[in-house]
Parts: sequence; C-alpha cells; structure tokens
Amino acid sequence: MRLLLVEDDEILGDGLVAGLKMEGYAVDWLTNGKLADEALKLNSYELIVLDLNLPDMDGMAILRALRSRKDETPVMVLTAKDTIPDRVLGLDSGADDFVIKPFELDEVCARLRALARRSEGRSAPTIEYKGIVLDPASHQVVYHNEKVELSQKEFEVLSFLMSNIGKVVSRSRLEESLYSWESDVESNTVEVHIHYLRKKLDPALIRTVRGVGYIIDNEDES
Amino acid sequence: MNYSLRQLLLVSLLSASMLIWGITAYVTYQVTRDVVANQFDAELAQSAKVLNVFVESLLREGALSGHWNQEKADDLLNAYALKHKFKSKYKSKSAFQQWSEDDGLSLRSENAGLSARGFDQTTIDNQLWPIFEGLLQANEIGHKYEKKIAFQLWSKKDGLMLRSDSAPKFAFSTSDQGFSETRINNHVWHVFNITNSTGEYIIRVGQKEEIRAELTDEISSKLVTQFLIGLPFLGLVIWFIVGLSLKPINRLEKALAKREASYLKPLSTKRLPNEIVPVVNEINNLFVQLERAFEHERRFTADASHELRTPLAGLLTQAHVALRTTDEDVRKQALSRIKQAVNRMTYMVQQLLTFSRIESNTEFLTKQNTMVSREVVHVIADLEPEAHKKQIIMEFVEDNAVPVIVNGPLVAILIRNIIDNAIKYTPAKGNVLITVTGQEKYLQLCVEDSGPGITPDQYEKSLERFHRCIETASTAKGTGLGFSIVQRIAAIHNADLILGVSQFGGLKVTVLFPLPVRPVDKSWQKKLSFFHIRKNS
Repeated sequence: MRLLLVEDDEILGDGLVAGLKMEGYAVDWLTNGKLADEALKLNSYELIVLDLNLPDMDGMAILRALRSRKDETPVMVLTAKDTIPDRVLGLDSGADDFVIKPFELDEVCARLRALARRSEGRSAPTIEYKGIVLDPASHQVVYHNEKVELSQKEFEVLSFLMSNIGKVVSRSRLEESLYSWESDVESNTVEVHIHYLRKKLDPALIRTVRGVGYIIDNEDES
Repeated sequence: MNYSLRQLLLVSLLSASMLIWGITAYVTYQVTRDVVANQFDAELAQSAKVLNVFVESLLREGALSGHWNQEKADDLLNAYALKHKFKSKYKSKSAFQQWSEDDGLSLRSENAGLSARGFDQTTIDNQLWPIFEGLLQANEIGHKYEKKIAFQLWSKKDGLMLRSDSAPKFAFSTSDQGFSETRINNHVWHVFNITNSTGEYIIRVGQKEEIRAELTDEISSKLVTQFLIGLPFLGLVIWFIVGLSLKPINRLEKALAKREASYLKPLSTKRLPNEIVPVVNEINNLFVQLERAFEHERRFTADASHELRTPLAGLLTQAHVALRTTDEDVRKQALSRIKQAVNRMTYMVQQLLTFSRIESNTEFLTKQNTMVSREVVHVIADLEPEAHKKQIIMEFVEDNAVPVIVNGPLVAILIRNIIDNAIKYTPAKGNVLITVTGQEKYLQLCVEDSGPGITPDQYEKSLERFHRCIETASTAKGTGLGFSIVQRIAAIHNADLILGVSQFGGLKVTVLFPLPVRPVDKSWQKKLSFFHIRKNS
C-alpha cells in the first residue's frame, strides 16, 4: 500500500519510514510542504500522513488543496498542537484522523489500517473471500482454516487485489502500491508474486487480463 | 495596616461633629451665662428701684420710723395686704411695674395724715416686722427661688429696718450704691444697693449666684441631652450615607471576585463615581498588560510543546523500530537516530533553560566593564572543533577593542548563539568571520558566514521564537530559540541587533553595544528601554 509521509523532522520522519515499511507500506517521505503538494498532484496514494507544522507550506494548506481537487485519499494528520480548536480546524479542513505527538507507532499503524478499511468501504477488520481470510493487522492469511505463509510483498498484492474485488488492477498500479520511489522494481516481480500466490492459494483465484493487469473475479455477483 | 473606610468616616465625622458642637456649646454656655447675668442684674436693679419708690412714698407719707402712725399704718398695711398681689419676682418687668404702679397709686391715695405721729424704734420694729414677714410669707403664690432672693432696708441712723426672710441680719454689702458681690455662708450673692433721695435709707436687694448657675446649667444640660440623643441618629445617618457612597466599590469588588485569573476583559466604568474611575482605568490597563503577557506565555508554551513533542515522537518511533525490526542494519540506524534525538533534545532543553533564565533571573542585571573580544575568544575556543569537523575556516579580527559595561555571562551566551548559528548553517568548507571593532559610540560585534543567509523580508520573522529557516530547517540542528535569546540579551544591554548580507553572501549578524557615555549608573534607563523594545516587538 503506497503511503506519502510529509514530516520535516529528520529523526521522526526516518523512524516513521522504517516503522511503516515494517508494516508493509511503500512509503514516500517528503520534508517539504511545497514538494508534497506537487507530489500529490502528480501521484496517487492510498494513504497520506501529514505533519501540520512545516517550514514553508502549512500542512493545513496542503490538505485544503488536496480536498479542493476532489481527492478523497485518507489523510492522517500529525500534530504537536493538542488544543481542541486545532483538532476541530484540522478535521474540518478534511483530515480523516488526528494523532498528537508524541505517539505510539502501533497506534498510528492501527489507525492507518482503519483509515484504509474505511476508504475501501469495509467496516470489518478482515477481508474474506472464497475461503480466504486476510487480516491486515496481523498480516496473516488463512485459507480454508489453515494459515498460509506469505511474503510481505505477496501479502500486499493479495491485499490490494482483495480490496478491489471485481475490478481490474493494472500492473503499474500494483507496482506503485508495492514500491516507493527509492526501491528498484524488477520488471517481473509482480508476476513472481502472482505466481506464488496462485501456488499457495487457489490457482484460479487471480485471473490475468493480458496487457492490462490482474483481477479477482466477483463470483457473488455473477 | 488595613482599615474600614466606613468606620473611619463614621468615627471621624462623629468626632468632628462633637468637637464643633462642643465649641459651639461652650460659646453658647458663656453667652447664655452673660445674658442671664445681665437679665438678673437688671431685675435686681428693677426690684431695688421699686422698693426705693416704696420707701420714698412711705417717707413722704410719714409711715416710716419717726413719723409712724399706728392706726394709719394698720389700715395701710391691711389694705396693702389685701390688695397686694405678690407676684413672683421671677416674672416679667411689666408685672413689677404693674405691681409698683398699683401700690404707688393705692399708697398715694391714702397719704393724708400718715405722717402725723411718731413711734419709738422698738415699737415700730415690733409692729412692723411681723406684718411684713407675715405679708412676705403668707403668700400662696410662691416660688422655689424666693429663698434665693432677698432684700434689706437699712437706715443709716437705725441700722436694719426691714428684710425678707431669706436675708441675713447683717449688711449684705458695704457698698451704698450700685452692684456688688458678697459671700455669705459659702453662697455668692449678687447685691444691688440703692440709697434713697434723702440719703437716710439704703435698699439692698440680693440674689444668690445659684439661680443664675442653675438656669445656665439647665440650658446647657438641655443642649447636651439633645446632642446626646441626636448623636446615635447622626451616627446612623452617616453610616447609611457612607454605605450608600461605597456601593460602587462593593460592586467593583464583586465584579473582581467573580473573575477567574484567565478572564482579563476590562471592567466597566459605568455608574462609577469620578474618584474611582481612574483606579478602574488603571486596573484595566494592568489587565491589558497581563493579557498580553499571558498571550505571550501561551504562545511560548504552545511553541515549546511543539518543539519538544516532535523530537519526542521521533524518539519513540525510532525506539519502536529498534525493538521491532529483525534487520540488524535497521536497528543500528534506529539506535543511532535515538542518540541523535537525545542530543538534540538536550541542546533544546539547555536553550529553553537559558531562555527562561534570561526571562526571569535578575542576576543577569549586574553589569561591569567587560572585554567583549575576550568572551569571543572563549566561545571560539569552545566551538572550533565543531567548525573543524565541517572544515569551516573560522577567523577572528579585533580592532580597537574597548571595554563595555555588560553582563559577562549573558554576552557570552549571545556570542555563542550567534557563532554557533553561523557554524550550523554554513556548509562544509565555508567561512565564518568574526570581528570586534571599537567605534565612536559603539562596540561592534560582527559575525559573517557563507551560509544560505536570510532574505531581507524574513529578517523580522527569523527573530521570532522557534522560527527556523525554510531551506535549512531539516538539515541544521537548530532549535529556533537562538535568535530569540540573542535578541533578548541585546535588548537587556540596550544593544542594537542588525541582520544583513555578509561579504561571503551568507548572513551577517551585527550587534552594537553602546559605549559608556558617563560613569553614571543607568541601569534603570536600560530597563526602561528594554520594556520599550518589548512592547514594539
């Protein structure tokens, strides 16, 4: 899941990047508000973690600009200001969640999962489909009541496809979701992950749409 | 010492009333006594004259000694006794006159043949005395003061001829004519003497002092009782009026008591007396200043909390990563970041402590002759290793350095912050030039660097607390407090702080310390100017 982190503090930013990567997010980190604004215009992210106190452009301004572009990406705001008026202003400006510094990384991760869930229109913490139970919190997949060991990337691919059941997900979209700017993406990695997923789960689960991408068909509707 | 305005006013107004009343009462007493004395003197004279007329007419009728006619005298005295209305001597003059006219007329009408025969003295006395005394006493219309009024009729030849019951048997007075005073049995008598036209008889009418004293005392005591009865009422009225006048103060007190420390809106001056309005205005001024100070503190706390919360969040996150990761490299990096964060927070806390010490401590107000260049050398010696790490060329030029009157430790903090800042923001292999130059009115401290500098429109902002330069915010390990500290110390010393462009294209910080003009202590002026600067900033 691709996530943009906007935080000007070097140590906190670095720690968040490391922590979020451990959770399986593909994290892009920017320390500059104006750059973040530009990046949001050009790229699409599943989640945004935004610090409000930035040296050049106020985090709130970035948020407002984002919402004015009808971009509904869930935004979690990090702030050191804990007064009620600050929080009200932040939520009214379009933030989906508020975390007051200093925070527990676990809490941030849990809240991010909740945000992702809500943005996908789910309320249950796990995704279930055709005997597969995927738990984003514990990164575990259970298939026909048996635990399946998946690598982090495999989990991410499955999670992304299961969050978009019945929709074709392009290969580039999957790549974007798996890798941040810095990581080198080998051209066939997505194919490799899909291959292993078919092997470990039902081989017919993921269908390849040639030249476009992959889909988990929604058989409940058909 | 505290006191009640109401009680003070009550006591002082009552005392003043009592004093003024006392003086008035005393004067009134004196005047009354004089008037009463005059009145009684006049009455004495009047009585004496009436008696004189009586004696004169008796003489003319021959009813007195040597010309006594018993028969006539009996008739006369009987008639006199019947007709006589013994009015109180205390009554008005007209009554006397009426009385004297009546007697005069009655006597005159029967004067024929009265002076026919004479009697010897004893006969006259024996016969006359009881009659007169009977007449004098057998009067129903008496008065309690009668005993205090007395008369005597003296014959120069025969001595005492006639007297009232209350009169002594010896002469009231040695004087023959006019007023005199005499003391009998410890009583002072006022006596009026009158000698008849032939010079044979002397009439003495006496009055005891007590009558006068009693009358005066009675008037005085009435005055006193009236005042004593009136006094509590006066007190009540004063208490009530003062209470009414103090109502606005009570209202003010209630309005103030209801307030909480954070509620500093101005008090209303509506319906307040003119005497209290200036007080309320001053309180309101104080409120405005307090509000400003509170706002200042609130902003400082908010800023400081942000500046501390962010590195804390960094610390916590890195610690979390270090605990959770299975990757040894990631753990090592996280741990080194933790160390870095702790160092940064230590520095931050130091700066905050310095700042609050400057804000509150008075030890920094003692100033003495200091060589600024010496302080600069100390600071450079401390910071050189830092510059050396970044291969920064640091140079110090001293020219005509003169001592200035400053607080040494404070100025050291100022110099350290400026040079520290220059080193932090100057990239590797850059330059930092420090100059101390003595000028006509100032000692100029100048620190120039080859860092990114500050655009002129950002000069003012960069002096704000916790403000950090955009371009360098994430790389330089500043706290955003350095310039605030520098500014405060400069203000305390009445020194000017000027930002500009250095010869290397970076930032140039100039501090102008004023040279001592005269060896006069001007610390109070410095304090004033310090406040002045604060207000404007």
